[in-house]
Amino acid sequence: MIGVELVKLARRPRTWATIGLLCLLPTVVAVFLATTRISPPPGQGAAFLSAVLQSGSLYPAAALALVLPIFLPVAVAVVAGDAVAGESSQGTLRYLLVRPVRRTALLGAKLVAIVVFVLGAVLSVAGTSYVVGVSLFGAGDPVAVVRALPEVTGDDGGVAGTAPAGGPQSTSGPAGGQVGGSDASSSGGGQPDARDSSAVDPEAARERAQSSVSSLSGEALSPADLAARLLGAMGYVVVSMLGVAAIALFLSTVTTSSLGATLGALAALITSQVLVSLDAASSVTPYLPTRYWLAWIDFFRDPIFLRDITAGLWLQAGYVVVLMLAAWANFTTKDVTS
Amino acid sequence: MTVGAGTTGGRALRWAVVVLVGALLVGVPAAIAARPGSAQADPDELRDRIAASADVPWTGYAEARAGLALPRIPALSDVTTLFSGVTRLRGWYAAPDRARTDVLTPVGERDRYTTPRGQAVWDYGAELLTLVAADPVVRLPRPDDLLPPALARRLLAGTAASDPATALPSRRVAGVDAAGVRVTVADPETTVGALDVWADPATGLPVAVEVRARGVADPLISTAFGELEQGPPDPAALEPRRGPGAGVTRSPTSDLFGVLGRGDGASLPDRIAGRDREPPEEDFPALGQYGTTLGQLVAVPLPADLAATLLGGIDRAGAGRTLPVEGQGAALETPLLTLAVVRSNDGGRAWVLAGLVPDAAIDAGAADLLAGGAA
Repeated sequence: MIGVELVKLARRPRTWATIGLLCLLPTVVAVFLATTRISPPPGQGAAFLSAVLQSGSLYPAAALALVLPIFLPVAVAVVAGDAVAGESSQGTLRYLLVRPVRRTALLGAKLVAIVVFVLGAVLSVAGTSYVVGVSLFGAGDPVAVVRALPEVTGDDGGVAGTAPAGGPQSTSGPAGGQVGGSDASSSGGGQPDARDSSAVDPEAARERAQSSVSSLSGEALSPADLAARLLGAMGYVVVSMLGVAAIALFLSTVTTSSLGATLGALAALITSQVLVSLDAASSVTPYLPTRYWLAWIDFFRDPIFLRDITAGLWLQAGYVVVLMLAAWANFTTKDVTS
Repeated sequence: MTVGAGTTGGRALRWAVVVLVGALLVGVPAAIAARPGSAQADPDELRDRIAASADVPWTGYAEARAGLALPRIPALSDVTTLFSGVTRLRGWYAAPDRARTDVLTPVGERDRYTTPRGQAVWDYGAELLTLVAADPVVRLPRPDDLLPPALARRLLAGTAASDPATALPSRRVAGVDAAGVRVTVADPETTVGALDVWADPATGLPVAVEVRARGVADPLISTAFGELEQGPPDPAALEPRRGPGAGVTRSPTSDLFGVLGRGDGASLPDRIAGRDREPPEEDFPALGQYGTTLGQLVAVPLPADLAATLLGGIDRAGAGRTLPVEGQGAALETPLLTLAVVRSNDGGRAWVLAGLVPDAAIDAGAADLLAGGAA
């Protein structure tokens, strides 16, 4: 059943158009940034947009920040809102249910398909923006970050072997590191300057990449560290979308209009966004689905700040449980006439 | 077509399950958070223990809420935003000269490291590490002052020993069963009405603070830990770091009062608004501290251009009160903190005057500054 839903998802041109549009926004922003080199003033605009001018390997994080507030939730609401209501309005739902299929299982399969969609969308955004970022802004060494990914994910198949084709280092700043209270301005931080060494040595390439990206707290990030934090942030963004997906999926079982379900979910999100920013509503903000959306940036602090991330995970889990239960309560006893 | 047992009873039962699970998910965490504390401590003893808690190390996260609603004034925006809204703080505290405070924003952070050799400020947005030689003791408020331990100790130090301490109901804050004490401030020369502090009765570490102004029902500043671990912090977190490619700069002081206070203090009288001037700190001869209690006034001479900027800023914000003095004076007033800029009629002399004091003290102080500086 899950397979059927996934095939259905993959066969829809709309799925790919949505993902393409999601990837387009960060690309457009990157082109403007790269041609003008005008970044938003510090502390304003989307996160990481000024930092990417130094190293494009941070651009996936900036891209997530760009699509997270509106584009991604809209895409999720469209797909999830259509999940049941779409079948209903096309008249395919009753044929679907004529098969010996449990309605609960159908709901579960729909949810899995939506999660796969979100995962695919986030991975595509991160992947394209990494390529775009590195090619437009350069990176300390893009290959080092890519090679570090297997170290993080546990699959070490790609680490050994061939020489990396190290990209030109775009930043010229001296290597960062610990700075004493009194002796900081004397030198460039004491790390060996790897710029002159050949790009063939993976170790040197890694060190070079290390000297180009920093956490929000000023700690230099190794490629493995950066890759791990990016993966963490991407995972968190995927989970953050589950609440929207659950709201839209529940509404999708209530109405036969997928547009209605999508708009209903978006209305819930906008309400949540408004209330989150309202001090007077502080008593309910911990329960709002968008409350901890921005916590993914805490992966880039040093030490990683887990408080809001953990709260966000529990919150999304709560929304999924309650709304999927509601969808189940509504859908399993619903008269399907269309 | 109906699939499954679509009876009304089954449907009601299903929805009952939904409502029950929803209520549990909302209610259980709320009930755990709201469960009353049981800690008890003698209020006077607790107050002494809080005052002596500077050597208690901790690591934690705190949120401070301030409702002073100051308008945004150029050159003072750090202070005005600090007192109008929520400040999110992460802290590592090993000793008074070994600490770090991060101010978290949605797109970055600003970290202040205190080391035995001085302070270092890391600004992610500006990609700059500033090494600060020294800040004066008397200075403009900054975010790390809003951490519960810092705020409690600083403000309690300004109360009189005769101010009565009463017990407050205990509260659970960040996993600590904290005992509460209210110190009611008797001094009519300050706007601070009472300080409510909740602290760990075992160590005396303040975990929540509420500052109340005279005649205002709700606390104007409230700060509390959301996460707290007592014990020495990770030493690695206390080392200042400079991001790759970021700049480093040195500054004698990071505080506006500190910068101004390094100038010439000749225009500061010995006594204003009935308060005697304290001996000036070394390196900051132009920093005028009048009094040592909560009702103290701070006066600093201003250069003409900055005075014009500040007066213009207060004027544009439309929230200032014009002072009844011989000269120009405008005050930004809140029920707690007042910040005034005073300038002589010829524009030659100007001061900034601040304190947790009522209007009358500001007016008298401004008049004394104009009169005394001329003599």
